[in-house]
Amino acid sequence: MNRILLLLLPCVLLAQIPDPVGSGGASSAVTVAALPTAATAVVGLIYRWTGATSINSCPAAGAAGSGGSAVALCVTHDGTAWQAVIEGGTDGSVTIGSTLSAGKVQTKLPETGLLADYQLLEGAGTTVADSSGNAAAGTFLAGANAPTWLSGGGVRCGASAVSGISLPSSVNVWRTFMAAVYPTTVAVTAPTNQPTRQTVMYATPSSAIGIYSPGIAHPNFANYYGMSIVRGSNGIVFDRSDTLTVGPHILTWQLGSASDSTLDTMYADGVPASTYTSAQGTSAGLTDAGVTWQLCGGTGNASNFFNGKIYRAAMWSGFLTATQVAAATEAMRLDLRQQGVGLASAQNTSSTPQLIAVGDSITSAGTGGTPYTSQLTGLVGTWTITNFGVNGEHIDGMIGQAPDREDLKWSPVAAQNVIIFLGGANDTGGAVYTDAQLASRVCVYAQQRRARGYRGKLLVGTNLSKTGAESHREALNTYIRRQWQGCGWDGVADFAEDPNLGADGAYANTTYFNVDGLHPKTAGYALMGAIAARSVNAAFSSVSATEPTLVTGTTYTILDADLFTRIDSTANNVTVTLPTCIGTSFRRSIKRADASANAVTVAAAGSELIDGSASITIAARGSVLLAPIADVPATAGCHWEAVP
Amino acid sequence: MKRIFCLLALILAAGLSLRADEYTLSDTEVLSGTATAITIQQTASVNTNVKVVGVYVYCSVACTVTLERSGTAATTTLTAPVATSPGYAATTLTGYINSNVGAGTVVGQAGGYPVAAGSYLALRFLGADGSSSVNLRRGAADNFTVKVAAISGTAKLLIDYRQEAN
Repeated sequence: MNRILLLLLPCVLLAQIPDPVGSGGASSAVTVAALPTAATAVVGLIYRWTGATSINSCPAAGAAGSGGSAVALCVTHDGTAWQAVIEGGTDGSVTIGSTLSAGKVQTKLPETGLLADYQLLEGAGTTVADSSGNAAAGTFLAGANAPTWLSGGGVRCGASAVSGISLPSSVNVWRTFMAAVYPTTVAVTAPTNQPTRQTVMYATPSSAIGIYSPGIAHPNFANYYGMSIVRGSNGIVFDRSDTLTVGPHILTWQLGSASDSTLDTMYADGVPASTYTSAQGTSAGLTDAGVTWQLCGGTGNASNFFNGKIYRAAMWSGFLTATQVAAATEAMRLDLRQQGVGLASAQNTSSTPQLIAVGDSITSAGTGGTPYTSQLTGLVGTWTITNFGVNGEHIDGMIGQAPDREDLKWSPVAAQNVIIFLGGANDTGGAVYTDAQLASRVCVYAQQRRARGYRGKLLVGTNLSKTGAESHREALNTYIRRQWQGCGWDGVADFAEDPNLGADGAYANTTYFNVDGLHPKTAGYALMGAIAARSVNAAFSSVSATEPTLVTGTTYTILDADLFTRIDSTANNVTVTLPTCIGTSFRRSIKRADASANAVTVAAAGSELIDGSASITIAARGSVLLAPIADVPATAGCHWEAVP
Repeated sequence: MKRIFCLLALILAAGLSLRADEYTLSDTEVLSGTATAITIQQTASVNTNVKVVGVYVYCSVACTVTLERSGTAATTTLTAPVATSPGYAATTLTGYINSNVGAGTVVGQAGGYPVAAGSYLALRFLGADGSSSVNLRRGAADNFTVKVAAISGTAKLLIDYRQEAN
């Protein structure tokens, strides 16, 4: 609210100033009256001065009359247009202002320690201006190695094999680097034994600041990237953050130093990385004199050039605090928005049905094999399939990623959306949650999707056999089977009901599982895919109690989507066969409409049972509601039971 | 120019996207002829913008859900909301389950929302532009409550909200 007030204040202010447009903007004296006292503490003294229209900058923050740590407000005229500026605190650490120039509002980044600010607005030429006032202009590499300008601001890096912007040595002392980036692709050849890396900033021979792909061996590498700081000439030592969904982000890399007890730190969109996949180092020494930093990256040091767009970049000599990083991130985001660069990923508007798989390495098949989302045998319809599986992901990580990932990936205009959630393999038996608490977190995932407006189907998966964790994952599965309806799920993709996947010790069967006792092989994923497909088919059943599937022939195999079946046996005996009960939570309503002397039989598939028998009969004008019931977790399997 | 600037300032004021961390408060209660409620409550001394993203309520039997704001402050039973992302700062709001919050101003449908047995109510208040139709007052012990009228059955409640950094 404070910021909103501050943004509105100039309206009041400017109402008292003759509009320079049409006056040539050069002759009238300016008197800025004190504004009415605002009911907010951060607005302190408002500047009051008279002078010519050629004032080009605000009085220095903290100068006499600026009002202690309060916000200072001034107007300036650059000879062409009026500008209104709201400066930050006296230490200059936070600037939450805006400058009006030719109809464009710009934000200002924190000034303390600001070494360079490349707004990348030139649009032509080979020089990149520095708007920090430090004359730290950058220069395009020559010829084919030059990046290309983007209309509206920014540069495209990586169009050629190596493209870069050489920066002056005055920036070498940087310890905080922030850039708004949009990788075109993170799928480039990985250096030997290393995850793929692209460098947003690079200095020969020992420093690479950039992003990394989870690795080309990861089937979902195209959906994610993380941040990295590489130190050491062989590129082996590096910090990596947790992963982000592919798309535009404002990223901040900070070089830690033992001198002030800081560690290498990374932020995505102003939020500090929650985990690091390697020990955080202290890389400040890598900004030594004698190196030349290059924006857009470079090759070598086990890294590659950056392949994508950079909209703005800035660096500071200091190690900004988390609050400062957040403020600077918002300032940069606001500025880019004025340029028409939307850094928030947009809601999917595809009309094609969306099938989204969320989970960990069981979903991604991150350790090898073909993921189940590529083996959805029997899936009805044409879908856009997105696999958001992340190796090593925990349930809280899935909840945390969802607002910026699947909540944007589903399409409000598509007729069908489904999210298949499978989590827990990295949580069960852990120290963070009990089995009941873990089940509650699974529940929250669905509840939150509903509260955030998701209107598609939600299916929750059950956890597979896992070495050393059978009792815990079985407990979690039991909670899921009991609670799914109350949590907002539409059904269960009960993978664990398949004895080959879910029976105690199934993990030891190397036909379906890897020797790690956790991850399925392609054959195991195929079983999962068939279960997922059946569940999706049933979830999108187009029949209803009033418009059931009508059966009049002698035999019929009930389809996944036949949740309501109406049998007319007037002309002959009828036998319908249920689909397998494995993996589904959807009940089947079967109604016999006639009172003829013919027999109506409902048979289970294969060796499955219905109330203990291979088949049941339905009396004249009778009906039955059959529910798939999971057998005991230790053996897995299922059967059908008639329920009220 | 003045008009242009003011227009821009207003646009910025409306559309400025501050860092917004998201949290949930949830609860499951097995009720025997009793009511229940969950409340998120602003701390009076903290100036943060709080936007309610949405709510979710499930009832195993038919129930009526009422949304209220600005009730007499709740004091029990204290339960910490959970950050949606591990990277978010701890929320400065307090959460209460089985809340003893006093009567407040009804938000949304007068008389509450009926929920069929075994069904759920999901309401999203957050717009595509990041604004919400349900916000808590800054710097006041304002609160927002989801109430389930007396039933004999299971109720699951969740409030999803955003707290914007200063």
